[in-house]
This record gives sequence, structure tokens and C-alpha cells, in this order.
Amino acid sequence: MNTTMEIEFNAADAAQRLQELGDAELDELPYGVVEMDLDFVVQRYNATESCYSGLPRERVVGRHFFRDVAPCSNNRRVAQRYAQPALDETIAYTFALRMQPVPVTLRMLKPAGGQRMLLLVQWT
Amino acid sequence: MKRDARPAGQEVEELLQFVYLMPVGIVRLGADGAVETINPKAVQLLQDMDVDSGHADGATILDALGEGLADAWRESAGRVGAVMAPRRCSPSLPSGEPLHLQVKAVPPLHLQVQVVRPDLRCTMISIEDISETVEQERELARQRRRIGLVLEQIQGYCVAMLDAAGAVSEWNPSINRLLGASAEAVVGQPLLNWLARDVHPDAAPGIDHIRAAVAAQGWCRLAAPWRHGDGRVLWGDCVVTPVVEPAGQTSGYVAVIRDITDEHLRTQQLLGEALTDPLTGLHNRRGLEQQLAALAQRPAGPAARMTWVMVDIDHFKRVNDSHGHDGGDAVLKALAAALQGAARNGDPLARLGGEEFVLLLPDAPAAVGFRVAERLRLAVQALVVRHATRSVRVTASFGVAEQAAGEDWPAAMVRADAALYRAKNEGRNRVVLAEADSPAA
Repeated sequence: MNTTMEIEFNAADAAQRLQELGDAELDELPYGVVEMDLDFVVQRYNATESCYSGLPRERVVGRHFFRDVAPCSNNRRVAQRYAQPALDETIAYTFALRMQPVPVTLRMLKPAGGQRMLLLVQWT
Repeated sequence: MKRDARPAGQEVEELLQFVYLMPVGIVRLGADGAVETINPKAVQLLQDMDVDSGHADGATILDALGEGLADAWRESAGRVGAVMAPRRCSPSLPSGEPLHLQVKAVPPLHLQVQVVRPDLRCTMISIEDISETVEQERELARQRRRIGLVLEQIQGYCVAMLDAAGAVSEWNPSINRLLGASAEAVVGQPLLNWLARDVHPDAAPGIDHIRAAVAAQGWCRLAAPWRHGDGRVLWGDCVVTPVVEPAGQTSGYVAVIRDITDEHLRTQQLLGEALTDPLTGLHNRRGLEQQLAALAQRPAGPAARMTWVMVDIDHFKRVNDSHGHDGGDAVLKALAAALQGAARNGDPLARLGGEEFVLLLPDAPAAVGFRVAERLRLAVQALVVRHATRSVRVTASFGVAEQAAGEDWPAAMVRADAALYRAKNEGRNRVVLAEADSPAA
């Protein structure tokens, strides 16, 4: 618990450290974490994000995130940014979570040369 | 949907996912105009327009979706039903945000918006992204404009779109230019109605002929006479090709007609010159053969008998010798006119060469031919040709033969020629009936 609390939403080395966490530790985080492979297929979906979206993990893991889970962010602001070879950007965005417009902060992470991409979601 | 004993929570999850994936944006406003419910597609579309649905109220959203929309919505307060008919809007997209990606030019966004008050307490807004449809429609309109321009510019051609039955389905200026027909007179009418059937019934095929040719070889071509709106006949070379739908059926035809009137008339004129004796204006030998071919086309019946009258000017060499070739030509011309005047109207008369002529009498027995020949002989005898300061008089000899059943025309001509030879031997300026046709034989 102590170790996880150290990974702040804005931590510079978040991408590397989040990938090293176990599933239980990932669930403890106060922000949503979506971990995808390079083909956008969801590998891990933490409890916080599941709670925001109302979608249980089993409905999400193994699916194409932008096509089958969150088509509302399959656009130039979010999905298209992952086309870059490396990415670490934070933007203000609005999600429709549980049918409400919810202002969120998104952090999009794609370490150069890595096999994973991350999307962090923080309620504002 | 099958009712089973699934836990309620699972149904809610399914419903959530269903709404998350909905491709149409939906917003519900409460009585106070605040956003109560919104689905992800609506958030995304509004976000593309730089409207933050997390903070915006209904009026702001409607303002962004179209001019006057928010006012119409406010005015509709207290009423139930559609606030306005579904309408299209094309919001300008924000351009300020730098993109780190090599994205092609952002395509314009076209939306279809509906606003409905299902009851007095709430408002539903649906926002559909119809950008692709609109772009397709525009491309289609562009193509139609291009084709329209081409049809307005081309001269001497007419392009007509026909339905499967051969009726004109669309009017364009080229139809008016070639056929002199207005849109009201043409659309819905069979194009083949413009064929000049009364003038050339053989050269004007029906739609069945065209359909069969198209089915057999994929297209059809016909040179036919067409009736211009002002009454004149023009000749058009018409190519018909089918419009085949992806499923394979023929939904219509495209007919392209080229005006070939000038060419056609020139050909007819050359043909006429080739068949005419230039000095006398009568048929020449080729013209006679063409007349015979036309006569052979007639249905053969018991009455289809034909009599030949061969004509030769007596002592024509003397005319040439004493009056020169000019005098000879003047005599030939005058004599041709005299023969024409004395012959039955319409019977083919030809100059075979030199001073020799032939008259054909279709549907006439030898006796009639004999009487006509006698009339010709008297007409020639009475003829006085003025040449230079002198008068020239001539006579002619005639041989008459009726073409027998089963006899070919060269044989009949030879017999008529033999009778003519006898007329010469018997003293000239007379008519002699061929042996087989004379009552004595």
C-alpha cells in the first residue's frame, strides 16, 4: 500500500512503475488505469476505472479499447495521439461516465520501445 | 429479448455498454435546461466542436449546434413535441489546438440535429454525424454538374437517359438542341417516338429490336431519320448502351445520337449522281439496274408482268456529222425530254449509251407496251430541235418485248433489242413487237 501511494498521477516515471505493479496494487490507486498492448487491446483495467465507467473488468479486458469500449475517445484528441512512437501528454477531457458528462484529466503514456500503452483517468 | 434470471446488475452493465457504443449522440436536458444525461457519442461530437459538455448547459449546446436553435427551443417551452424539423448543421471546427500527428486535413463535420420535448419536464437532443453522407451527396452533385456542363457544351450530339421501357427519364439541353424538344414534351415519352416513321418506315426500328441487340452484343447502333420539333427530318446515328445495376439487371439505357444529316444527304447525292446520265438527267445503266432491283423487291403476283421498250434514234451518225457533237447532244436532250413526256408517269426511262434508250413498263403486257411505244414514236417524229440557227428533226425505231414468266431480264432485253433491229431493217421510224409476243406467233 505504501509503495503504490507513491505513484502520483503526474509522476515522471509513472509508465514504468505502473507496469511493475501487481493487479491488487493497481486497484488501490485513486485514479483509473487502462493498460493496452500496441494494438489497443486492453490488458489490465483497474478497479477505480471500472467503478467510474460502470463496466466490470471482464467486459473490457481483451477488447479493443477505442473501438469496443470507449468509442467516444476514438478521435484525434485521444486515440490518434497514440500513433506517435512515444507519448506522455496530459489533457483536459470530458467523459460520459454513467450517462453524465464528467470532466476528467487524461494522461496518455506510451514509453518509447515499450510493449504497453497506458491511459490514466483522473476525476477533476 | 429472452427473459432469464440474470442479476439486475448484469443488465445494467449491458445497458451501459449498449449506450457507450451507440453511434448517435443523445442529450437529455432537465426542466431547468441543465444537462441531465448524455452519452459518450454526444460528448465526443460536442468536444469536436469545442463545447465542454461537462460545464455547458442546454442553451450553450443548442447554440453551438445551429443558429437560432436555442431560441426555438426556449420559445417551445410549455409545449410538447418536436421543437423543429430535423435540421443539418456544419459547425466550424476549432483549429487552435496543435496536433502532434501527421493527420490529413480534418474533414468538415456535418451533423443532423433533432430537438424534441417528450414531456413538459425534459428535452431530448439527438446529434448524428452525417459527414460521410453529406460528402457523398456533394460529390454526386459535383459529378452531375460536370456531366450537365458537358451536355450543355457538346454540339451536334444528343445524350438521353432512358428508363428500362425506353422512355426518356431526364432532360438536358442537348436533347432540345438536336430534337427541338422541351423537357415537358420529352420526359416520360419513348425516345423512339421521335423517329420519323412516316417518312422512312423501314429505317425506324422499335424498342424490341434495340433491346434484343443490346442483350446480344451489349449495345445497339442505328442510323435513322428523326423528327425535329420544327417538323424537318434529320438523320441521326444513334448508339444505345444499357445501364446495368450491380445486381445485373438493366435499369435503363443511355442513347447518344449524332447528327449525320449532312453526311447522309451528301451520300444520297453522290449515289444519285452515280446512277444518273449527266447529259439527259435520265437513269444510266447502273440506275436502270437499281430500278430493276427495287422492282424485284415487290411481291410477285400473277399481274407482275413487265414490258421492255428499246429505243434507238435513226441515222444519229448523220446528225452528228451535219450538226456537230453539240447538235447531237441537243437532240439527245430534247429527245429524252420528249420520251419522258410521252411515257407513263413513273415508268423508269434510261439512256443506255450513245443514242440508245430503254423504257420499262412494270405491270404492263406487250400490247400496252406497243401502244406506249407508238406514242413515243409519234412524239419523236413531231420533235423539232433548234440548234444554232437550224432546225433538226429525227425519228426513232422501237422494239417491244414482254418479259415472260421465268425469263430473266437480260433475256427479255435481248429480245426487245432483236425486235428493234427488225424495226431498223424494215425501214426505221416504227415499232416492232418481239416474235414471241406478236399475236401472229
